[in-house]
Amino acid sequence: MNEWLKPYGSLLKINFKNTTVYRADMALSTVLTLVSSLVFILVWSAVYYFSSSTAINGVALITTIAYFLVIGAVDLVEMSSLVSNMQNDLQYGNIATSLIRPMSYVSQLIMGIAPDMVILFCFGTVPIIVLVVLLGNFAPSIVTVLLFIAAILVGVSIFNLIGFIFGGLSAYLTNVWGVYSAVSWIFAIAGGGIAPLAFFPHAVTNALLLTPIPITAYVPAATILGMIPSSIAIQSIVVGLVWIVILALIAWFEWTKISKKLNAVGV
Amino acid sequence: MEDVIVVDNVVKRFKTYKSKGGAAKSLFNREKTVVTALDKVSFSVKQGEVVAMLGRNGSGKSTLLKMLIGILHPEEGKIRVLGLDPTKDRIKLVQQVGIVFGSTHPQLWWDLPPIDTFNYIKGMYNIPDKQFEKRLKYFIDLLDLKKIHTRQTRQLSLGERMKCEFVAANIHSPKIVFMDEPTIGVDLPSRVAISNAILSARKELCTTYIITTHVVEDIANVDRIILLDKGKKMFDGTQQSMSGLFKKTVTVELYFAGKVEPKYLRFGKVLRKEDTYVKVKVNPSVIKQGWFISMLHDKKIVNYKIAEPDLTFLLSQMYRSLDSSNRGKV
Repeated sequence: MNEWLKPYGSLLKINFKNTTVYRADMALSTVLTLVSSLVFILVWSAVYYFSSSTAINGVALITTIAYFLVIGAVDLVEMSSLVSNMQNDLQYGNIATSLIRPMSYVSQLIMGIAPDMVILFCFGTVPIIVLVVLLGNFAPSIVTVLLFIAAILVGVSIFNLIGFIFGGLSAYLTNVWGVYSAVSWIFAIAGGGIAPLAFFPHAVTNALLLTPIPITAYVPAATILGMIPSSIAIQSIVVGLVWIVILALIAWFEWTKISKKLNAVGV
Repeated sequence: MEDVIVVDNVVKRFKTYKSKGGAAKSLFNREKTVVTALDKVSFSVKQGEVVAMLGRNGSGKSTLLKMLIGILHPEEGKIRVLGLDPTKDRIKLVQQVGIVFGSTHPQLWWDLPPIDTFNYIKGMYNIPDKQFEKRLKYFIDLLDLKKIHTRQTRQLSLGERMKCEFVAANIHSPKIVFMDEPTIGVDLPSRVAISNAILSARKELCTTYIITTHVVEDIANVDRIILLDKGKKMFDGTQQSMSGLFKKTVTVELYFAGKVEPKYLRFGKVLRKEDTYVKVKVNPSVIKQGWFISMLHDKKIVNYKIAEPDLTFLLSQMYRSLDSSNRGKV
């Protein structure tokens, strides 16, 4: 391995080991993440049952069930421990052990969450989506699959950048869980985690598609299930990329301030 | 030997807030205060020196240590470690140093065995395979870690963990090792093992050690003591030169066959007295006098011990004198 890459490889390797120490715990938490999907499936099944039509805004029950399973699968890869890691580091001073290594703190942070994401993507997200697509006869095209993967990558980046920004706030607020929980709920509502955005009025959906929120859940799920045309998926991915730049700039600005604070007063 | 650490007139202040009473009151009305953590501290350390940084809680030891590795930046003054400015070259500097943060911020992965952390450090610092194996064997033998380093860290005792933390800080053959209170809560055998390992590593690789501590045994073998108090350097020298600061005394301990007679209590200040034992502080000139020597041969005295004051005594004297001067009773 390249000399320059060796430290990163080494950190990634130990984080992989650390992530897989308790395999049963990991498997159980993966399965339990899908409980929220099952709750929404039950709720929306009840809504469909009592509704006079077989589809809501043109979306059939089977698509809604598949949608919430895909949302659960996407959540698996997006829900990283970044915020709690940063809070522990900044609140309890654990960042000191990262700063004694010849590598930037941000690199160490990314290497810390990467194994979880890769493992959950391979053993959680992919099998669930394959099952949903096969059992629901959705037959997405190659382009749709590629757009789905692109949307997930953009969504993961946005979710983690927002996590980084709120995790960084713990340098000032000490405990950011309250704020972050509120933000997570906003993301769940506006991102299609509670109801597909297709159920919302068109004007609301179109407005939301300009924000960084739907790309984290609704866009990938709706793309793979054919609920939105490729053009909307592409447009959302482009909007998402613009948001990545904006959020990265905010994160960079915030981190510069935090670094100055750390260097001035410590943690 | 060249200077590997140069600290020149370093000043560091922290802003803190003083509560003004109840929770609601302090929410809206807090008083800002500025605490001087380090006040014009200067010193230098030569390659291969083992230096203990002593001081009471809040004296500025840990702040100074964090500044030496670039985690905190000085407000005034200059710091150079291995010729580098820790403020600007932190990543380059930490490549060449090792750090033990005591039990508060361990670098061992809690759920993995220490060997995984050592292997991670091997990759992080690009240590060649042969050199790593050699160093690992050296430390395993030195600190008796054969049955320890492959067990999950969370299952190890504090002493075992600290020995492994020591290895993690030393395995990449750093030029300087900073140790922030490395033996708090650690049992005596582990403390001795770490202390001996420091001396061996210094002898073998000429490693410089900077140790902040409250534990007197940690500094028994150090070359130099730097004493900080309220952010100021109050003493910099050897243990011998520290004892020279105070009026010379020696302690005499006498063990009797029967009860202690009053005549044995008159030749100095009695520090402790029991039925068959007495500890007396005397002027060193006393022990050279004939009457004292013949007294020691008295049949009633079954054993005796004459010693110079130990470091605990010297430090308590030092702190007492600092408190007196702070109160203006120089």
